[in-house]
Amino acid sequence: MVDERVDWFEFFELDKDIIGCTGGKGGTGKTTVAVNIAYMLSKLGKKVLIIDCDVDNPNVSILMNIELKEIKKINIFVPEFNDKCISCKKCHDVCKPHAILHIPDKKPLLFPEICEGCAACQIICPVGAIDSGFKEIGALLEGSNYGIDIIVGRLKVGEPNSSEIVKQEKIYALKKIKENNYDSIIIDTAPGAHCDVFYSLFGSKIVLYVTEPTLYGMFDLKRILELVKVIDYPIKSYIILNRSDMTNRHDLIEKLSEEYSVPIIGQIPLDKSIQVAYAKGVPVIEEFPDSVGSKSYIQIFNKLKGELKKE
Amino acid sequence: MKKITIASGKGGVGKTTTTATLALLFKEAGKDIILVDCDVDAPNLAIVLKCEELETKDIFSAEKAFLSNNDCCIGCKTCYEKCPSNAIKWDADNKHPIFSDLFCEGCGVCEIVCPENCIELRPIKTGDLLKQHSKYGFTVITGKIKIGEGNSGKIVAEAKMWANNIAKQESTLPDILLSDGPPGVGCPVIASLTDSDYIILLTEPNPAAVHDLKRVLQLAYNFTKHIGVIINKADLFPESTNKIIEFLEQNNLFHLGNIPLDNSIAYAVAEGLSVIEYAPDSIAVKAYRDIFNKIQKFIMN
Ligand code: SF4
Ligand code: SF4
Repeated sequence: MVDERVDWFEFFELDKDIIGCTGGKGGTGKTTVAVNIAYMLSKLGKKVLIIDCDVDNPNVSILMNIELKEIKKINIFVPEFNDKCISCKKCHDVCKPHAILHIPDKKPLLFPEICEGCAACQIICPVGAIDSGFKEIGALLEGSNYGIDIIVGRLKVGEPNSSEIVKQEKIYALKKIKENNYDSIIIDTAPGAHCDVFYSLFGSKIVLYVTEPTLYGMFDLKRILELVKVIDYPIKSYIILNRSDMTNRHDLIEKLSEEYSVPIIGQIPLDKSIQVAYAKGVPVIEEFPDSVGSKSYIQIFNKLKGELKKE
Repeated sequence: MKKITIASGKGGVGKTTTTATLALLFKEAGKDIILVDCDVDAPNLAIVLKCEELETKDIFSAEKAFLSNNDCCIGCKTCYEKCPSNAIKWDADNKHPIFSDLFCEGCGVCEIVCPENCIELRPIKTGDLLKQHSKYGFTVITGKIKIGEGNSGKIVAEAKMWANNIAKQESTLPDILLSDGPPGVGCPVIASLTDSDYIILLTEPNPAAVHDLKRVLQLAYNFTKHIGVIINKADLFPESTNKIIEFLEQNNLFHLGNIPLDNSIAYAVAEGLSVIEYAPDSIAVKAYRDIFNKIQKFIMN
């Protein structure tokens, strides 16, 4: 069993600006957008928190040059078989991911790397032969720079249960948001349209889809637009067309924008200054405020500002 | 049959473009190949390889909880209290649980704890497997996960298994099985790397991509010592590129080569074409050809 359970709907009750940055395809600039929007919000005098939910590859800290400190390990339950075991095989039978090997007349054997921590085995065991052990699947970390706090969830390489990290990260974030009175929360998600991305975005009031004008960009954007449609709560959605002059096929993204009624809030052209800032770990607006890239970020931000809470 | 898997850790560094280009180069070199798209959450390989669908299979790799009938439930709330994923909402008016398809992980705890045995787990469709034929003359197996589902590792494993079976049924075993892996360092990446004879990793000269490369390396080492690395957009930051090359040397990783920034790749992707067809004389294609020659040697050794 897990440390704590999330009450997903508590997020919607927070009276804050919660902005999710996602996009479907990998490498479209989600994290760069998240960091620069956070930076501009902070410059406006808002207290900003970024939650890095790309637990496979959390890169927000790299882009902001933040040294992280670990706040806690994320552990999940794993069974520990004690001597009361009567070898009845029930735990083996209930284990959905098949992490328990039954050995007749002996204690069962666990494959800890497969165990997902649901504790069904402990509940079914008729003789109390299963104690609660734990295994580490990742960690939560924190840091700050430019007056912006970040929370990072990091999956231990090779662990199967990445969504548990996202869940624990959001529970921790919820607590921190309540204690610290943040004005704005930015959530950076993993690529794709799988359940981790769903858990990450849950609670966002605004979702920014960062994409690029290519066929891959379009197909992956379509998947994530479909995913967010499922969230039964009013969400304002905007597409950001990144690397807009990479090709002239804006029509690909414009078609989806119309089909899903999600407006394109702005474009960011290819700009070496964005890449230099990225490689240096500084928001482009801090490093090259007058660059083409920064200007397009500021334009997008000015449009977005209208959607945020007034002070 | 040699099994080669392409991975990167970070998304968007050019895995699909590289897989497609290498596939066409293998074909050009007279090799018989079969491809697997393991990026089940963003399966784009078939687009650029101009595939025609031959066969599809549904995958039921997960289960979700359902109330077998409302009359059975006595309203004890045990399931609601015990669900480790908080996937059950309580309907206070009717005094019975409402199961959320989205949050249910199918662990079966509710089924076990219900004193009246009212809850059952039913298999649900989580994705598709597609067998496709590329107009370039080879088979492409694609795994596709249903939007919002987890457990993509199982779909990757199924896709690879199907590809292996198809390969074995052919009159002569293909020379190469080439897999395009998903981003990340979790379960689906393990499933895509499993059983690989060679792993080709892609990176870019920026700290995030290098960080992610190092993470995926921790996995890759478990499967083979034959690991080659391609640096994409290498001329963007030559200094960082040199640092990566140094790192590769220190760690006995094979540097397969660099791909320069080249807009023809973007234009090709925008049109859904392979860069070889779109811009055969581009500097990117030239770089890919050099890399391909090294890969052939790498595989021979
Ligand atoms: S199967 Fe597990 S996750 Fe799904 S509702 Fe039952 S207890 Fe909750
Ligand atoms: S445990 Fe069974 S009887 Fe009790 S509320 Fe849940 S479904 Fe109804």
